[in-house]
Amino acid sequence: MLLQYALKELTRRRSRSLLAIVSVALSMALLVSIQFISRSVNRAVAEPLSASGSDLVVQKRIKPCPFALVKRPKDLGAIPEGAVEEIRAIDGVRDAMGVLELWAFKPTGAKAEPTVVTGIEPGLPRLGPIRPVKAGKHCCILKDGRYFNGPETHAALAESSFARVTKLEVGDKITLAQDEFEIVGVVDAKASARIAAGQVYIPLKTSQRMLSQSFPDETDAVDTIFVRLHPDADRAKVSETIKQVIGTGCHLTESSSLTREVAGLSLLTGSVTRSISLIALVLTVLLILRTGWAAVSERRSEIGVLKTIGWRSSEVVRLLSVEILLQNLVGALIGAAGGWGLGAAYANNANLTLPKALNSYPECASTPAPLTLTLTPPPAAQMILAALGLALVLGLLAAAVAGRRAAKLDPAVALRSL
Amino acid sequence: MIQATGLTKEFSHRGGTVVALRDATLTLPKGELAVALGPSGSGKSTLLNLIGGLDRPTSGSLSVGGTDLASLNHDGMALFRREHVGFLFQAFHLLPTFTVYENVTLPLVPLQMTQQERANRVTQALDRVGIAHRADHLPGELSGGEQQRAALARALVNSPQVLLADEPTGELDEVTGEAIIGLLEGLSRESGITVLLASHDRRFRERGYRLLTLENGSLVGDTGSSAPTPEGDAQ
Repeated sequence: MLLQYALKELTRRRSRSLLAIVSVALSMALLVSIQFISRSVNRAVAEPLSASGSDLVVQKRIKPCPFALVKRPKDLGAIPEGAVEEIRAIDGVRDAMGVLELWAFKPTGAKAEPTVVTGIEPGLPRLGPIRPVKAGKHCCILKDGRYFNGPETHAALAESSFARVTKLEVGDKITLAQDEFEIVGVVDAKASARIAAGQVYIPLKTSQRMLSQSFPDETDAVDTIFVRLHPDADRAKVSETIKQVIGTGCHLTESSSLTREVAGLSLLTGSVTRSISLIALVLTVLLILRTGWAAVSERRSEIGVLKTIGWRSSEVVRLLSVEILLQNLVGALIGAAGGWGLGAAYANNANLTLPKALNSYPECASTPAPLTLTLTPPPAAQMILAALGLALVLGLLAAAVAGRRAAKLDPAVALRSL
Repeated sequence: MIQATGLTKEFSHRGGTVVALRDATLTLPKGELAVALGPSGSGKSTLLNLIGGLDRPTSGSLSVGGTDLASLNHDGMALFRREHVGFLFQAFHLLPTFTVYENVTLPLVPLQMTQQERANRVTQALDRVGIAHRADHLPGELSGGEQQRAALARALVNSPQVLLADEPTGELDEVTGEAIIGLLEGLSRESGITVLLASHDRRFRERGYRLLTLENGSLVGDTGSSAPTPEGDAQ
């Protein structure tokens, strides 16, 4: 009966109810859309790191090296492989693996586009660009053929899009600079190889030898180190120690710095998102409390009449609470759906890319570098339930405010003031 | 039925204390129709509010239907109003967004009863005051007399023992007012409801009702139970 009366009251005082619902819906939409965008961007930005199994990516940025048949891409600097061992020994580091990303030109056509080659440790890599997403003997991203055998030096894995463009199949030969490799497998690494991705993957030792042929000073080098930390590691301390190990030009990438580096996302860093969310939350709280306050202020006479005809304060409070909660829940539902829509529209139209240094493809590469970030929506049910839960809690708060005022309202005074 | 002894009500405000009702003593038996007469500010409404459990006396004792109002807490007062008292106001105080039927249902909303029982009681109350044909109308669509009938139906739906009417004809024309008074008279006579009206309408002097005359918060005249009023006696 109370619910029936509350519904009638809400539907008959349409303007007031709509105003309250729209207020709640707008503030809730703001809150949900900010959370949607922030969470989906953070998930998207964290994804390349999590796909590689690492928490930190270590690189060295130096002046680009001169042209050679095999060269380090752009400004990526060589890091002695011994640094990987040193990093692995740092307190808080669980694992570390180095890879060497190279550009290999064909000896006959220096002007032709280079092939992006990434040297990786043979065996199933624990970290890095073609780390198997699932455990097992064979890499789950292996589309065809096999993975490296330990001792072989001139075996290569072709990335599937590169294999398609260049019409390479398992058993075919590919020339990289002056070395000829046999394609032993084709990997579909779109999901996993987001950092230091190559068009072709070869054993790390072979890639190091090829680089040292062009640059004799750079033996046993890597240019990207993937680092996995213990969950309780002191990140700041580990980062500081890694910087000391790498020296000048050390560049560390982690999910927080990646968010800042991704173009146009400075507004979505944790602290800014938290601040905007807090403002939206405060706005929501104020608007909802206002509906509770107004529920009594605008209806003093009505509440006075109800009390005069024998409604107890608790019964009046219950009626107001039902009305406020209904308004809030409807507003929250509309707001959450609207906020979700806004977030989804942003996610569909956002053009977010990783910093190019993480995947040093030449501008004219035959296959594009995997730089594009895909925004995936956070779990819808979770966010909508959270919005409804918040509206419920705030509604109860507003109902408490309204109830306190309504309980205090003296029916005789309310009637005298009419 | 209503027993008030030394009933006093003072209101405090910044300028000091105002005595709205001073040392009023009266007894109204079951089925009595009494009129509290007096000019504005004489204490009529205060007397009604005290008897109706809307206000508490500053001093004195008050018993309605055997219930000592001083012994009731806030909720107890609300339940007392719900179970024993019906109110009628000059401005009707119907909720404008609810139909007549819904307005009459309002006192029953917090009560546990079947929908059928609730509907029966509302229909009976509407029939009793002759407003059933307007049940689905909003108050704004009714004349003053019809609104007062609807308010009377709301006051009667809980079968009260006491009906308190504060200037019930104040906003009605003479004919409509007479009809409302006729209804109230019928209620006291046929249903045994104790009716106390507050009014400054001199017409009540000629109707033979018991008259309680108030001046400056004091009960200065009481014609006694259902005694005809001699002209000027209450002055």
